[in-house]
Amino acid sequence: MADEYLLEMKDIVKTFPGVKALDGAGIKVRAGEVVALCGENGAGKSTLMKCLYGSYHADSGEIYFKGEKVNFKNPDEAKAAGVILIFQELSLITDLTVAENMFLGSQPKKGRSIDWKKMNADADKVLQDLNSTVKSTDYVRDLPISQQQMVEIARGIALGAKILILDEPTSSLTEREKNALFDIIRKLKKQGVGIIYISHKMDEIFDICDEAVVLRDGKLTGQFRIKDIVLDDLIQAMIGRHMDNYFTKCTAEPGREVLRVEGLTAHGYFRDITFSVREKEVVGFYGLVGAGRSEIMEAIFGVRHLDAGKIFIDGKEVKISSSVEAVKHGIGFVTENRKEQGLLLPKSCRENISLAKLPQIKKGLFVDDSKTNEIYDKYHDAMQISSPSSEQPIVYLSGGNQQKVVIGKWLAMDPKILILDEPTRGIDIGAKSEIHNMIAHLAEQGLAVIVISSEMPEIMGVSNRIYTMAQGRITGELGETEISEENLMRNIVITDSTQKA
Amino acid sequence: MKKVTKFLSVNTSIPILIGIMIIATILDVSFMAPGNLFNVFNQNAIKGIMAIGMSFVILNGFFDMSLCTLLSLTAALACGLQPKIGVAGAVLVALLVGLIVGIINGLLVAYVGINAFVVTLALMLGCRGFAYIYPDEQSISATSDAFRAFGTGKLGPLTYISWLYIIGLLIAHYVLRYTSHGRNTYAAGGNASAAENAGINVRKTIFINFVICGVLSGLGGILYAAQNGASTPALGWPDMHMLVIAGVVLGGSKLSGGYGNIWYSLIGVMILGVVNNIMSITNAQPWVSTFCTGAIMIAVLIADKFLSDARAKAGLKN
Repeated sequence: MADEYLLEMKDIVKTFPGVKALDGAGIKVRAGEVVALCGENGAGKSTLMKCLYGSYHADSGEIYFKGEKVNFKNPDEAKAAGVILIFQELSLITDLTVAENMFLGSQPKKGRSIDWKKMNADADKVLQDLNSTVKSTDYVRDLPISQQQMVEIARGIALGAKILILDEPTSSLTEREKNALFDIIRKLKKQGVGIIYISHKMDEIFDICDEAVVLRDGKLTGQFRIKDIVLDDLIQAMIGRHMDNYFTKCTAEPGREVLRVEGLTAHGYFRDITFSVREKEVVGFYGLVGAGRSEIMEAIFGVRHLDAGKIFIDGKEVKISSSVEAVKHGIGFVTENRKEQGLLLPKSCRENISLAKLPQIKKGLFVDDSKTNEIYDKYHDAMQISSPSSEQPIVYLSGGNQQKVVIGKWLAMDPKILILDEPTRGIDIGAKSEIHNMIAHLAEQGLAVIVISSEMPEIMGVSNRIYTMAQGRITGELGETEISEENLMRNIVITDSTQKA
Repeated sequence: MKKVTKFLSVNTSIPILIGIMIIATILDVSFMAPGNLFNVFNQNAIKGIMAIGMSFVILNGFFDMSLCTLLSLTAALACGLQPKIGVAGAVLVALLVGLIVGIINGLLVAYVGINAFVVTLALMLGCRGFAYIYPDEQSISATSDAFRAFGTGKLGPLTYISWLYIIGLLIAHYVLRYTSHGRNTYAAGGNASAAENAGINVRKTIFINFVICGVLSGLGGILYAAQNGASTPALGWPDMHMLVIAGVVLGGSKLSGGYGNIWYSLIGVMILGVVNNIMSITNAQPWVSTFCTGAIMIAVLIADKFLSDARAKAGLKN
């Protein structure tokens, strides 16, 4: 029975400190078939693939490849066996030619010299098989993204791929490029390659895939034949999680409207965005990675160019063209990657927390240290930051405490509006709920809070109202009583083509 | 015609070199005399040899500042050891010192993971110390006649050193284009993590390139000593490493790594050489010449930036 499948992963368990990322996950792939791997953000899709690819090692479970039990120690072994993973971010060397990228590290040789003629001919043969117009001697830097992706796939084929894993391959492609990719996938199917297709886009799954595997919280919920099911079955399988009830929501009655935006558009990122936030309210933005949520907030914060639209704060139209102006208007922005954009890692807690306030507290040319100490003391207590001393370099604090410092830094500015982008990313569960409590508490004290999150339980747990987004547009607004997993999931997988259908 | 424009769009430094040569001819017709042109090549051959080594390091995404004092140390050793262990021994020891400095640079950058700027700066200071301590702050004359004869001798219109440079260019071209190490250098310089993913030993690649650069810098010092018939502790100080790096980058190789070739370094070194030559045949004061070199470098890099931006834009429109 097992040898009917080219690849079979069974009962895979993988634990990270504090999290059971996979708990009985699996997938089966036949040669010449495309299997979709679906599930929400954090359901364990990438982890499962990394366990196959040898980047991670499963705690338990079995992997059969071509009927034999395997356990790849590292990606090189997986590649050598014919399991090729193509990452969402392309990993090509742009100043080298297509052929060189395809044969990087394993160029054909004549004696000790690289045989360019053979290398180019071999590459052209693979590219022709894929009906590609790309030539072996083209430089990758001159190719559009879609064709670069083609080169990645061709590289996989040149390496002798039996199983090709595509991770959100269409995320940066246009409709026409997507169709070209699908043609390649169909071609590969005919050649007997098994393909695992990771995607959130339902229309694509129904278009190109033969089967779909659904993961939920690291568990396998089922593997379905696509022709036997409809969209609702798949959504149902992806959600239906038992909701933990440890979230505290802001219970205050929302006050007046603080922020309102109308028709915000930035070409290529988002269009026609209209929403409002009131004081004493937590508004969630839910959508897939790349839906344009962070970009909207960056535009409101003045660090991204807007092509159209109006922003009103306290009912007055404002123009915000830099973060300095945004801060003046009372906007605080906790960015999603605190290490790159939010913190001076080698500096102390005290210095970090008083950073945004420095222009107000300097004495002549110099910083007034006693003032920074005051700020530190105030927010250290309010935020329950656990740090051995005010001088502790921030780099040595836990992720949760670092995030509290970032939030504290913005609170020191007395903002009216606080935007939090993925506020609990990379933070352990205990600190997560502290931050959730803090969000509710801040809103109750009168702040207007916007939370962006890709985690469904989090967005449901903290928000009083949720805007859902897909492909740069707001696809729905859910009031407190309408918030449900099903509504959220339905709203974020809406794409132009599914809407038409 | 299309091929020509494409060639020039990639090799932006060639029209720049031609332009500078035209300006030089306008300033003084004698510039174009064949004798003078060979002269420019001969005068810059040693810089070119060192630029070969530097090209390997720069293509890999680093640069080596220890060159400028390493060469005065090896020059001193090559001269000073001649009476004691003979000319062959002296040259070998000097080369060995270049090798060791290259190994130290390579180990610290590639395997220990320290920033190349700091590492090679430290080695530059270290070599400078030895370059003064060893000869007791004095110049040393080369005692071997054969050594001096090699430094000044000619075969046809070109010096032996120039022929050595040409051979070096050909070997470097072969290594960069036709060996795994050469292609790995481009890959590691272009995108180290992607290279690592493709199974390339990035650390080893970096290490080897620093060693190549160390040996060729050491050789540069020996050749200067042979050419001048003596060494002096101030040789190469304070800006030889910068001129060599400038030569590589002016030619068109990216300072960030991954892009360029050995011929770019030839063109870049010759651009610098022509500028120097015009300054000397028009009797400009030396510091005027230095100033002009700086100004021209900025002009060339701005021109190159515009040309490559235009190329990038054209690429997006595809």
